[in-house]
Amino acid sequence: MKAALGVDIGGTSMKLGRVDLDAPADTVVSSVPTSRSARPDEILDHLAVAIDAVGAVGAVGIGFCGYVSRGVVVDANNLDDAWAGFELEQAVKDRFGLGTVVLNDADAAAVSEVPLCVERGRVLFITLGTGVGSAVIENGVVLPGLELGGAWVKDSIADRHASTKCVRDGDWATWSTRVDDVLEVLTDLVRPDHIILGGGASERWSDWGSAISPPVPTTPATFRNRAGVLGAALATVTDK
Amino acid sequence: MNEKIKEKFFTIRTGRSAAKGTRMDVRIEATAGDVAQLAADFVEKALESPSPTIGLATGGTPLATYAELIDRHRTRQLRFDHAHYVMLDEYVGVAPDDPVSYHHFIREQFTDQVGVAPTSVHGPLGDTEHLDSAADAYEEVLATLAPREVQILGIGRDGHIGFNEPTSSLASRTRVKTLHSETRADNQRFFPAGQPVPRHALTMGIGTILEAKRLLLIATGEAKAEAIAAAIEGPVTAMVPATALQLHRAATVVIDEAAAAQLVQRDYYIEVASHRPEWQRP
Repeated sequence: MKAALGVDIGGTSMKLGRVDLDAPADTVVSSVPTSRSARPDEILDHLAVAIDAVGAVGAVGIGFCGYVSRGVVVDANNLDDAWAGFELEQAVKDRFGLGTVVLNDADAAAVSEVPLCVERGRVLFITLGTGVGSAVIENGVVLPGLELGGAWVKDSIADRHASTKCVRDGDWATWSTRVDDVLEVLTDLVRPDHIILGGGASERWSDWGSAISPPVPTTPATFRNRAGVLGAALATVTDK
Repeated sequence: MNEKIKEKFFTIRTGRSAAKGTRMDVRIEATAGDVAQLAADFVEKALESPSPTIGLATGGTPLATYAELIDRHRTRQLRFDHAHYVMLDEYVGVAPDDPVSYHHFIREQFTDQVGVAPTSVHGPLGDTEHLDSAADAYEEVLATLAPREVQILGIGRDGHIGFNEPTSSLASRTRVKTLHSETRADNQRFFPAGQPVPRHALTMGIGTILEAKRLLLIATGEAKAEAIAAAIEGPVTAMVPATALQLHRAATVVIDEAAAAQLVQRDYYIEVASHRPEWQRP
């Protein structure tokens, strides 16, 4: 059994799971709260504990909540400034001696859907959480580094307009009209054949999934909010 | 904090959840309509999972079950859009949008009518020269998805499940199979006059089928009575691929009286079903 540690580093929590690469759906994900001021060395210390606890893994895949280029964090809006320019991939390799892949968190989440997109043409993968992340899957590949959350939507940007911070009193259905606004704009930009909605909001799909009117077939992320952990782990195989 | 993380990792449960299973669960219903109701109950139960995978069968028998599920979607707003649907098989040389394809069949007869995006319906892709790769790609789809909560199955008169004809390995994976002449004749009714049924199909193997958490075999009508008796009461043999259900921990067979006509232990199955403890109900 091949296994990898999947890690999803976000602004408020770090999610981890040991992923059996032959049966990723079985992955159990644990969540560790992180502070917004978490610095790289603190996160690496958390990782050390996790790697110690999960047993033998062949590799580590990390999805990171910021723009990542070739394993280097370019910016991390939601975390400490010390992250800008941090060579995360190299640092993890050096400390743990494991094959490591670091990618943007939405890109990582999208990787989890790649095997399911054979018949889907061009797929727009959107994560809906505190912010809005995006990725495009086509021909079995995730096109990395898209930042469609910056797209202009209704006098704001997608990232803020459909933030789950806008959910008032648990009223997901009202919030979902904001998702419609975002899907309309992003569909014009990307022209997808299919849209997948992931991120924290996808855990509540049953509260709002039927309220949206998407322009193309739209489904919740198969692995919901676990997609980031699963995809990061799967990326250790597909990216190497 | 560190102790907390450790604690979480040590409580991780490994392995797939498994029903305990004692014997094949045989449900004999009065009519084909009752069969559809009960089969639909099993599917509805599977849909309670937050992100389930449902295994669908094509052919004539499951249509009444799909009709019942469509009715529940319309009258009770039963939701299907959170699940992935996987098919057993597809004809070789037939594109997914071809009206005789199983992809087309399942969308038209079921998934399109219950609000499921076509892109949530997966099956092997038979319109390619690279059939081995297509078979492997389909196995990868199945491995990626959560294990099927339920796999619906029909049965051929020769005891086939999927397109696993007699003598198929009980450990087989998705691959190309040559259809039995009897199967081709039976399926001619789904093809326009003059268009022959393809000779080959890509089908989940029996090993692939057995990985579902629950198997749900549906059969109605006396034409299936002999195959049903062999599947439930005969010895496990590759000559009757459906006997592989005897190896599964949670196999349920839902049949009408006509299909049950040749079962030696018919009365016992009825007794078991009518004294079923509450906790054993689907």
